[in-house]
Amino acid sequence: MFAQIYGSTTLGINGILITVEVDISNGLPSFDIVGLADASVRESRERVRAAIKNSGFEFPTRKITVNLAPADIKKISSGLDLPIAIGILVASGQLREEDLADYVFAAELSLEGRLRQITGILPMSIACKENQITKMIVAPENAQEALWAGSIEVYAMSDLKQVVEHLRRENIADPVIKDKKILNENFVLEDFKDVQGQIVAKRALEIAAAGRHNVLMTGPPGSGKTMLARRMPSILPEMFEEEALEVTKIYSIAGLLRPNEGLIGQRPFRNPHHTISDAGMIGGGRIPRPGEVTLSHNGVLFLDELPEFPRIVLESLRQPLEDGQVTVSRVNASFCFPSRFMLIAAMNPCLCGRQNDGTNTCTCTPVEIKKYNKKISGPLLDRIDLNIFVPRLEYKEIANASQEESSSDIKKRVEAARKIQQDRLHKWGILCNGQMTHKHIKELCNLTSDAQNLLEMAFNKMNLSARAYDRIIKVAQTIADLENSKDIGTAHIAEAIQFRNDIKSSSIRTT
Amino acid sequence: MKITGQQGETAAAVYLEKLGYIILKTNYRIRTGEIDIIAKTPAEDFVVFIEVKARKNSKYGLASEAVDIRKQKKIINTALSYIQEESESLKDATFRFDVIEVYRKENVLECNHIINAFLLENEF
Repeated sequence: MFAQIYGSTTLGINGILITVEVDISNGLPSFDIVGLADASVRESRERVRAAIKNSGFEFPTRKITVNLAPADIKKISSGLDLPIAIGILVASGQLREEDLADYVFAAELSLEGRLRQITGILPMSIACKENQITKMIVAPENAQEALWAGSIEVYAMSDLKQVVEHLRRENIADPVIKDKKILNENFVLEDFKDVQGQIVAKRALEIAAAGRHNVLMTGPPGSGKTMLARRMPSILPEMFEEEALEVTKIYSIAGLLRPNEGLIGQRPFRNPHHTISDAGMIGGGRIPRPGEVTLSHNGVLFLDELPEFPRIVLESLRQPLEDGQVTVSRVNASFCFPSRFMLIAAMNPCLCGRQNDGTNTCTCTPVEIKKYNKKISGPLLDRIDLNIFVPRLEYKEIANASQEESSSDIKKRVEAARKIQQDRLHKWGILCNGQMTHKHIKELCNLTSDAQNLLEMAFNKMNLSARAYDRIIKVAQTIADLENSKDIGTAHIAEAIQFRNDIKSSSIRTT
Repeated sequence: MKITGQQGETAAAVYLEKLGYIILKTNYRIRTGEIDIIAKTPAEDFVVFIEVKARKNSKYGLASEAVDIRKQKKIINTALSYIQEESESLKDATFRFDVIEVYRKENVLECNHIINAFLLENEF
């Protein structure tokens, strides 16, 4: 007796349909799972056996062979419990094969027979949709997530018994209805109006948010770098549905979604501690899992105390920063994870932190300062578009009771600038200036002749790289967009250039 | 008073016959192992390989605990040899492994039947 059921597993950040074949034949009683099953899948034997027995069905005393096809993909999902159990019930004649046309099953089983939620449901339901399978049976906690793939009927079942009764049409359940709550916007965000002063930094962060550029904030301790960075999500433009879907997919696989949460509406903001390993940052593991750069896809990666990060971690950021994706290769698998994030970094200018703060109390020697700044490599700095100094606040600035601009006002300008960028860039398949390549810049960015001259002068004087040239124009374009200006003028270029003074030149100036 | 293995096996055989099992063979022995009782179920046509374990009481652990993985492997190997020998008559049979514990309770031997006690593991 033979049965064939559909289940699903994840591969990288994508879902894939798995055909679960169950054969029950005479012979010495055994229960084997073949087809590159991971430990979590092989352990499902015990769960499936107990769940079938405890749901009041019979577990056949025969030779049971389960095959998971395609056989060359490592299956890692405990969500294959349910299809295996259903397969055994069909193969042993307790369910009819024709009852389960067009269903994909994805849930873990408890010993008692209850359905448990699993990670990676959204990519799985997207895989179902791509394979034109229209019905899915999942645990109740996973139902809303599964619905986000669209045009799929999702049934939420609490236990194996209910699934069987539904399939036998004894007690038909209704498909789950999509929750009206589209994006979870009930988030309390920190607001820029709480930050006194720091006008230059705020301006730089606004430009960064508008065009998705990378920022490095240098300043003495306590000047508000972390405070500023934390407020970044409050001025980032809203995500498109596709972007939200990408983010939700990643979080689903990483197991960071809360049950019954809809699509993630907030751009991610990740601030890993500086003790992070390179695999934690980029992604890794025997079967690679996404790292911080992928978890901050479409959002912000904030690295506080940048020089404290291990060199290997910082250098590993170079490729994802440039390509917007990162390929993690291990013996078992090689996956390409998306990593289009905005890097915001913060650091002190020197070891004691008081260099350049206007008080002349820095106790570091020039050699120490040089050594401290050397921790950030040139190639990494070259990828940072906006390099700003966040100074120590004067007393009157702190005590000043004046109302600062709120995040919602800044966000309006950011959104307007993004709209202009989208209109210009959508036919190239990109969303913001930060994503432009050299080709796009050549075709789309119009510099006035004065601006051209200024840029040429800066290029020669500052010994800029070709990448720096591109990045200056990108930032200038964003500044122009914020002003709703068609061409890039000298003012725009000039502002973009002054944001590029790198930390090394600033430290040389003072020593 | 001591229970010998032989006493336990006899008690188990009597118990099975009372349930309607047909005893096919007792003490089937090959070089590498032995199966205490091979019997056929009354209803479903299972051929059952039964290991009998007798104990005076469960003071030093259950009798069934003595059937560990090593013992199970031995029984399975022996069963395979039996199936091969009798392949003609067992062509469409299904098989099962049971354990029967025998304890003495107030001078009566009592059987505790564990149906489908173990399965073949992956190595087979």
